[in-house]
Amino acid sequence: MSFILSVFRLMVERKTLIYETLLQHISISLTAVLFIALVGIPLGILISRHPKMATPIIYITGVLYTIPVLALFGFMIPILGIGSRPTLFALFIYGLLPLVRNTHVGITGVDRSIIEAARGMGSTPSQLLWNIELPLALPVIIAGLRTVVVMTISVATIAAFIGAGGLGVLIFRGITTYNTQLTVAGSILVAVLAVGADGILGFIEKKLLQKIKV
Amino acid sequence: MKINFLRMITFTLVLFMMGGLVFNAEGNASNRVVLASKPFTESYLLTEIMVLLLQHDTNLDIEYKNIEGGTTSILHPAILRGDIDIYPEYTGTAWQDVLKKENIVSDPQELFNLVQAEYEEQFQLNWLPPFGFNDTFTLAIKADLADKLNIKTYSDLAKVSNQLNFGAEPDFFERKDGFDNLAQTYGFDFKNTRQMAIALKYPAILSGEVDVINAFSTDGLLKRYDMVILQDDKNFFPSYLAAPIVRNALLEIHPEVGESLKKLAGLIDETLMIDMNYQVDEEKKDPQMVAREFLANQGLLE
Repeated sequence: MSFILSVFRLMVERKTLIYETLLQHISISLTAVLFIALVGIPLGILISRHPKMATPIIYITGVLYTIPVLALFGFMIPILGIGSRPTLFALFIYGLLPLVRNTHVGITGVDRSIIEAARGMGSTPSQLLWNIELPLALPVIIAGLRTVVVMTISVATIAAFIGAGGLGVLIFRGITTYNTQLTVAGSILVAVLAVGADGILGFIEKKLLQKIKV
Repeated sequence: MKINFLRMITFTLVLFMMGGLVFNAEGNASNRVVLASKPFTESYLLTEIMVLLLQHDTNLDIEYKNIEGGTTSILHPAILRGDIDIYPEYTGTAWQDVLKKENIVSDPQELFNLVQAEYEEQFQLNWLPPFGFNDTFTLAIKADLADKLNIKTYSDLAKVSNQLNFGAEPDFFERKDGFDNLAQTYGFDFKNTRQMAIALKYPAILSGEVDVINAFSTDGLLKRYDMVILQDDKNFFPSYLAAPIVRNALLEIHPEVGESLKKLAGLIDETLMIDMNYQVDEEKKDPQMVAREFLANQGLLE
């Protein structure tokens, strides 16, 4: 109990550092998720339109997913330098797979009979996509997005490693200066941020699904 | 089934983007000076000291960039790219890891002069005068164990090394002045060798997982864990004077940076460095606070 109290005392003592790293963490994660969404969802749609591309694309994103972050930083420094660029690059590469795969699975999983019916009523391919496939695939796509958000917030801890700040600073600093409270404070904040973001997305998901059912 | 959700998604994404851009905006004015440190207490302290002094002495926008993976292999390319302007480096590390020199220069001042000249020529980087202390590598062992086995020097250690476990950070197994050559020089044959993060070495000693570790001669924790430093009787380890490295390009535009940092020359000896490291690692003081106290005691903040 006294340990938990000492963690909170430390949070108050170092509140400027904590505020600053928290903002950095949110910013890095949001920017990464934005790029992942902008590329991942269209890519998922694309490969559901062209089934031949699906296997290679999912395979490539899968291979990217397996590169260890630290190795990536090691060989990207001469090109991307330090700071937010290499961090965003790494987060982008890691977040791509779940979103591409979920978008693909969501769209290809839509009941064929519904699609045939819509075609029969004269829907163009783009009407089909926007009015039938995307809305019906939405729960699966959002599930993928939630995975990406939680994962990105947690992986963004490594931003500190390469000079992009974030809550990882507290965690690494705590380890290197033998300050367990600092490490625990950083970890708690990352967890709270991830759970909070997941909750917000869950809420948005619920609202969206209600709208679509109308 | 109106597609209102699209508008909502677009709206959310735009919010994300604005948030991202606002927070990621990094000013690139020529008044900005970026400092970095290596990921351990001593380096944090040296950089905090330089940051506070520069903030006090100059009108520049001084930024301390936290690079927690900031070993030389990351900081050196970063300072060459101009991502950072200043960081504290050690002569021995620069000589062997950056300049890739094989020969050992035993005189600390001579090594400093050689490193300084090579950096100037190859990288257009300026080594300012050293802070004063020599943070060399050394081997440390629990005091009671050293007593029991009667170990005082590395050569004594070699005689009983097959009964002992050795631990060091991964870096130490890679460097030229690291484990392989050291073991060869002295004929070490440890029962087991383990790689672990710098900060985990002392807990590993406490738990008895390892018996001998590599340590820094200015490490404040040696005192606390009741460890003794062994004598390097064959002079294996080179000297590691710490000094600020600054980009020449920065010194040309802002010579006041060099003037300010030169005030720190020779101010920190081994005892003072051990004491400051101890205050952070053991007394849990904020490195910035320790740095401020140091500068105030030296009368550099008036």
